[in-house]
Amino acid sequence: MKRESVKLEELIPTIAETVSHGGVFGFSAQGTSMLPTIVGGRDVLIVGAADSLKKHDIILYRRENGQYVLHRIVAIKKSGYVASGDNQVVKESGITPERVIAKLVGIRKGDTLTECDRRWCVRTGRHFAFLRFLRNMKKKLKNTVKLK
Amino acid sequence: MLKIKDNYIVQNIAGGEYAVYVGTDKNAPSMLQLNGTAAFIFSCLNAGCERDELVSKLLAEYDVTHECAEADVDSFVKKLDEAGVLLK
Repeated sequence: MKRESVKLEELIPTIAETVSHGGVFGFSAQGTSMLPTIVGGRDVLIVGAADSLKKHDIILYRRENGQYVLHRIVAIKKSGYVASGDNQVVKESGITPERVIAKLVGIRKGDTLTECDRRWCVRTGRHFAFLRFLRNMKKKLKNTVKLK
Repeated sequence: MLKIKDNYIVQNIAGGEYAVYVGTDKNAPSMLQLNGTAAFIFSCLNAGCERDELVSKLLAEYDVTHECAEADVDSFVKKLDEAGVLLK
């Protein structure tokens, strides 16, 4: 018996089935788009049912190209959720509820579990929204200087 | 009596057998990969089983010596205990 990583795409049916029955499912984080909130290769992400989603929640969803990602909701529009990674500037819009598989409910870092409850989501969400604003301003300033 | 904690099921994922946790405990190990023998023992332990009964079941299912079956059962039970999926 050993612990082994399986591709996220291959886990999706199991995750969807587990959370639809009220359970939670843990899998290893990958990638850098949610740094420093989530560290790929180190953290274990615990997801649950994607019910009553709100701004700042972190969701696991399927992109139109079939890729699965875990990003934060930065806005909710009539056309769907708008999501972005905490380490990204680009926003992805039009994420319909049918494409949302699960919601992040916890992060295991070694033996420590961080509960991703509403309070945690809002606090970290606002922090990274401010950082995103600063990064955008920096980018605009750079472009202005270049033009001059 | 040896028994697996509640809410673990054996499932085939991407061609391999896995013990998958489907409960609500965020601290529970989510997934353990199992080979054929391990999946068999895990299924027996899901229902609950004494150690000697488990050895007998393994001997009936696989062509192994009594010593080998005992060693396999003890080793696997120890690993399950270390992973925190065995009821105490």
